[in-house]
Amino acid sequence: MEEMFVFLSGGTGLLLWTAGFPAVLFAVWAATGRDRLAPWRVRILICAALLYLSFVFFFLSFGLEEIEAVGSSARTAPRLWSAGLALFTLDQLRRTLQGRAPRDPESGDIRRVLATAAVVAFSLWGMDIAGYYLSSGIMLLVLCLLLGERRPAVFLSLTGGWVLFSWAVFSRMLNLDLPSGLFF
Amino acid sequence: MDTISHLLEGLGSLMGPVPLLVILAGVCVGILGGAMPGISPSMAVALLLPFTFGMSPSMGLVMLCAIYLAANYGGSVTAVMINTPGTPSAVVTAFDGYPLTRKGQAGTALGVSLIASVVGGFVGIAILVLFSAPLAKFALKFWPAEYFALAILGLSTIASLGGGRWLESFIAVLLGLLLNTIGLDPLSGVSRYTFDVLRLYDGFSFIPVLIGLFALSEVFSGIESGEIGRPPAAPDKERSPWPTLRDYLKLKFSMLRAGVLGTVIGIFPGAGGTIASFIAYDVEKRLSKNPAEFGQGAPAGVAAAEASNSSSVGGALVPLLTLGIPGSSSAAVLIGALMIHNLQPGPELFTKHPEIVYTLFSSLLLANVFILALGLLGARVWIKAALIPKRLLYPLIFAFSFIGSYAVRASVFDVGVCLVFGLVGWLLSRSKFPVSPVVLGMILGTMIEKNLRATLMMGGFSLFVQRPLSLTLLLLAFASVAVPVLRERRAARKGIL
Repeated sequence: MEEMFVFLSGGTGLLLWTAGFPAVLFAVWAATGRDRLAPWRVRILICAALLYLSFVFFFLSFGLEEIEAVGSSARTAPRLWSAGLALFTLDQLRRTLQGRAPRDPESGDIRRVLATAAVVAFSLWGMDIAGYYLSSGIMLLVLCLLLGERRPAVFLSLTGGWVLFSWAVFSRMLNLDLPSGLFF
Repeated sequence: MDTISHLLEGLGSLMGPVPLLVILAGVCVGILGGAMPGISPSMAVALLLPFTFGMSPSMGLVMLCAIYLAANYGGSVTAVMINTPGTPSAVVTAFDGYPLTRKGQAGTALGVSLIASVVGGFVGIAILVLFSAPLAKFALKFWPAEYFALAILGLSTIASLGGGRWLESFIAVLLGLLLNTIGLDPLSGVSRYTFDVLRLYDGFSFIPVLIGLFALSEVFSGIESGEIGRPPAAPDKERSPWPTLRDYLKLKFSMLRAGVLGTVIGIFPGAGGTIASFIAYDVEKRLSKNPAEFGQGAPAGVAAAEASNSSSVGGALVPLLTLGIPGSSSAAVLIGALMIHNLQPGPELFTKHPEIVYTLFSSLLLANVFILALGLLGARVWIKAALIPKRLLYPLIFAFSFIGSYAVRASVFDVGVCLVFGLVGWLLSRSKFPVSPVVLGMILGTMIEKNLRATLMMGGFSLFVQRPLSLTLLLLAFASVAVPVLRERRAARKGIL
C-alpha cells in the first residue's frame, strides 16, 4: 500500500493524475452535452475539476510521511481543506443540478483567448532558446497583430520600446538577470 | 505623543529628493493605472511590484502604497468624464458624476471627487495611525489559538461578504488553502504534493499567482468580451468651472461620514473600496433631504462614493499591518511585497521595524497631498490614459506580468505558473467564482496551518474553546458562515410561500 502511495506521489504519479484530469472532464462534458444540463456545462465542469483536485489531495495525504507530534501532522491541513472543498463543491453541484445556479455566460471570442494564451506559452517556451528580449519582443508583436493592431509603425515602436525599456530598467537599473538564449 | 513623534520622524526621513520622487512616481502611476479601465488598483500594484525590487523595503512599500491610494482616485476621473469607471469602486462615482458632466458641470464633479478623495484619504490614514499601534500591541498577546481563530474569521468574512455568491467564495477560499499545502510542510519539513518536481518544494510563489489571477484573468476576460475592438469614448471638450470653497464646505459632513464609514468597512477582510462606496452612497442617499437627486447628478453622491473608497485604503492597511491579514485584494499584493523584502506583516512589524511602519504612514499623508496637487493640475491629462486602446494595453500587461512573475525567483517556471493561474482565474470569474478569495486563502494558509497545529500540540482542540478570545472569534466566524446560509433559506422559504 505504501509503495503505491510513493508511486502515485512521484513524477509518474503526476503524469497519471494529469492524464486522468482531462479524461474526467471529457466524461463530464460528454454527459452534460445533450440534456437539460447544457446551460450549466462549464459550471459543472469546474465542479468536477474541483472534486477531482480535492480527491487527489485527500487520497495522497495518506501517503504523506508522519512525523510524531501530539495531535497533528503534515496530513492535518490538506485533509481538512480537501474535505471542506469537496463538501462545498458537492453542495454547489447539487444546486447546479437543481437549476438553482447561474447559467454559463454566453461564449465570447474564446478562440482569440486561446490563441493569445498559446502565443504567450510559445514565447515562454522559446525564452530559453531565443532569450528574453527576442521572445518577449516577438510575443508583443504577435499579440498586437492578434488583438487587431494593424499599423506597423505602432506595433513596431511598441515592441522596440518595450525591449529597450526592459533592458534599461530591469537589466541595467534593477540588475535583474533576465533569461538569455543562444543569441543574447 | 509617541505616535506623533514617530510620525514626524517618518516624515523627516521622507524629506529628500529620492523619497519624494518615489511617492510622486507612485501617485502618477497610480492615477494613470486607476484611470485606465481594465486596470484595477490591485492589478496596478501587482504589475509595478518588480520595480520595487531594487529599492529599500521602506521605499518599495511607500511606492506601492502610493499607487494603491492614487489608483482609487484615478478611477473616478474616467467615471466622471466618460462614464467609464477606471476601477470597480468608481462605478458608484459614475452614478452622479457622469450626470453632472452631462449637465455641463464636469468641473463640479471633478472637483468634488478630488477633494472627497483627499478628505477620505486623510480620514482613513488618521484612523490607521491612531488604531494600528494599540491593536498591534494587543495582538502581541495572542496565542496561536487566537491567531488561528482570527485568520479563520478573516476568511469566513471574505466569503460571507461575497453576498449572493457566498458558496462560490467559500469554494475559492478552500481552493486557495489547499493549493497552499503544496511544498514543504512548514512545521515538519515533509514534502507534500511535490511529485518530485524541485520547483514545487517551495510551493507556489504568491506574486506569480496573484498577478495571474488579478491581471491576466482580467485581460483574458477583456479579450473574450471583444472590448478590444471598441473605441474608447472621447471626453467632452467643453470646460466648466470648479466648485468654490463654499461648495466644498457644504459637503463636509458627507465627506467625513463616508470617510469614517469607508475606513471601518475597509478594515473587514474582503470588503474593500467597492462595497464601501456602495454602502456610503446608500447611507448618504438615506440621510439626504433630496434623495431623488441621487443618480441625477448629486454632488453629495460623488463625495460619498469617493471619500469612502479612498478611506477604505487606510482601513485595509489596519489588519494588514497589525495582524498580517489583508483587508483587500490590493492589500494582499502588499503582503507579497512585504514578504519579498523579508518583512513579516503582523504585530511584530511594529516592534521590530517601527521606522518602516511610520515612514509608510507619513508617506501616505504626502501621497494624499500629491494627489491633490496632481488632481488640480488637470484631470484632462489623466483622462488620456483611458484613451489608450486595449489592443496595445493588453500586450503590455502581458509583458509586465511576465517580468513581475519572473523577477521574484528569477524563474521561468513562475512565469508559467502566472499564465496557468491567469487562465484558471478567467475560467473561474466567467462562471461567477470570485478569484480574490483564492489569493487570500493562499496567503493566509501557512499562518492558519502553523497556528492550528501549534494549538493542537499545546493542548488539543479544547484550547480553542478554553481561551475566551479564540472562542469569541470562532463563534463570530461561525456566525458569518451561518448568516448567509440562513438568509438564503429564509428567502427560499418566502419564495415558496
